Amino acid sequence: METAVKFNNVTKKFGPREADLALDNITFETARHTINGVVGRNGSGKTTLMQVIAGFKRPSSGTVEVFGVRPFNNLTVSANSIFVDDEMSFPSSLQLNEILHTAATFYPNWSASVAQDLMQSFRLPGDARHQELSKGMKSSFHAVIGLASRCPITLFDEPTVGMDETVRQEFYHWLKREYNSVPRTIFLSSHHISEIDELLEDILMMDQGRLLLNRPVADIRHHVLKVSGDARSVEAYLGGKTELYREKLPDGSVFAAVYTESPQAEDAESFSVDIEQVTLQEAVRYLSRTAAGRTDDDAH
Amino acid sequence: MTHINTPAIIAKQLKYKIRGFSGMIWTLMIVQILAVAAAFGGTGGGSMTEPGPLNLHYTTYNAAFIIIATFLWIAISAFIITTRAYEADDYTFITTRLTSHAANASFLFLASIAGAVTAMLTTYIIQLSHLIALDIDLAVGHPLSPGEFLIGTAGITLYLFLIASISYLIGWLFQVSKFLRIVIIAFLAAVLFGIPIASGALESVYSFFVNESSLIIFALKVITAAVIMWSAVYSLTRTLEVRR
Repeated sequence: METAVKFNNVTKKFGPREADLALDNITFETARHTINGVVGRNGSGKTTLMQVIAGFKRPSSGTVEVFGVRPFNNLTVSANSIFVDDEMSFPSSLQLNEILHTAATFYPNWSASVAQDLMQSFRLPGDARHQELSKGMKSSFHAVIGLASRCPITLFDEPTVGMDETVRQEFYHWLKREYNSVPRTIFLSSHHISEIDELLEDILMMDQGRLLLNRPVADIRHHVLKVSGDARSVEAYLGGKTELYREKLPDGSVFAAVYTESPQAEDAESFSVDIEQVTLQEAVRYLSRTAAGRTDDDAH
Repeated sequence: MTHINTPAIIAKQLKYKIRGFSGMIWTLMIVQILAVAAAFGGTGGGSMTEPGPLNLHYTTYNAAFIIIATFLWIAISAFIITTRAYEADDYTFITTRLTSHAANASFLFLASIAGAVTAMLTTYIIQLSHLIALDIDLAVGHPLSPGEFLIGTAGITLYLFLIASISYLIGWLFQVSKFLRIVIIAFLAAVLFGIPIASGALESVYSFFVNESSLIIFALKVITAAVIMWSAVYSLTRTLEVRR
């Protein structure tokens, strides 16, 4: 595995209070040419994590390497990465086409044809100015730059803010297509987990600044299970497994979510319970509520 | 991995700024046109009545208005490019603190040249417009030779770049710390109210530059001061995170 991004005990504090702790002792490695979903609730540290990778923020302690180089204020990392969010800023005097032209001069892998195709498919007028665009159109335009620049490290922080569903689907389609034609290491954070789970290969799951989980999506789907049945059967099944969530249903039966290292296909029959795989969205919900020590029904 | 050489990125940033900051050039033109309009009525004058047949009414016109307006323009321009919005424009594309400041320095230097050349030309426009628009019996002009024009332009360019550098440094001091913000405002207030230490300090800086009659030595003074100020800005912001 060739490593693209490596975090070693990275902590980021913006101030002395506990609430200022944005990243709490994070360690992980990301392989080159993967699509990584950065998921978690608001304020869990997703943006800070990506800004540290982009070299915008400096870790308070620990080391970060992007292609073996410390990214903060580093020109090589800046030249090989792009950070796309809804706060991208452009001179107000430039038309969108002129901005694309400028982007082309900066990024050596820039694809003008991809940029043009995307402008058409998002219906962005090239002679408009950035400040004239609606929120969704701004996001679309930022996505054009993010994809056409073909940067080895591409960071999308909530790239679909304001986009309607059709446009979001269009974006995912292009992301997949661009990734396939020019592989790169992509980090993507989104609240629409159910929409992106097909796209993602690995998950970085954040909660309150900590990295809860860094696993392939397939793995998570495989290990997190939903179990339901009568109370005693479910209780028996849960023994020795990591319980993530449990709920008593009105009919007296019990519904639970578990994390298990070695799921057994024959368990359902031997414990006479129903076992189902979870979606990524559900897995994230169950895992994050457990991490936060929540036991109420706020996930619904 | 693309390996990038720093001067190439500075050049790209500079091109980006020239395209993106075209509003500043429009502002310069408006400022100078307003200054021309203000100077049109004359900046001084009087009349002499000699015993005898000669009655002399005279009005003087000079370029001071235009130069001062251009100084203000560069000061404000340099200050605003230190604000968050302009920083964000830089960080949309490839940059570091070093390339960003270097591109801003290059941009402000080009803007200084543009400001100086247009200020000098505007002086001619005033002379011309009076010849055309006013019923002038006798225009005692002081036309500049090409050599004088060049020296004048170089001198104003240096002044403009000096002012730009000071303003850029003050802008960044403002951006990085609330404490420094208060210190700077307190200093300016002290100058305004004529508190001796503050106005004395400012005066000695002023005379260090203004009382220099040799262009070469003046140029050396400005360049040295600029190098110190830009280095100060760089070390001030080297570990500053991107405010996004």
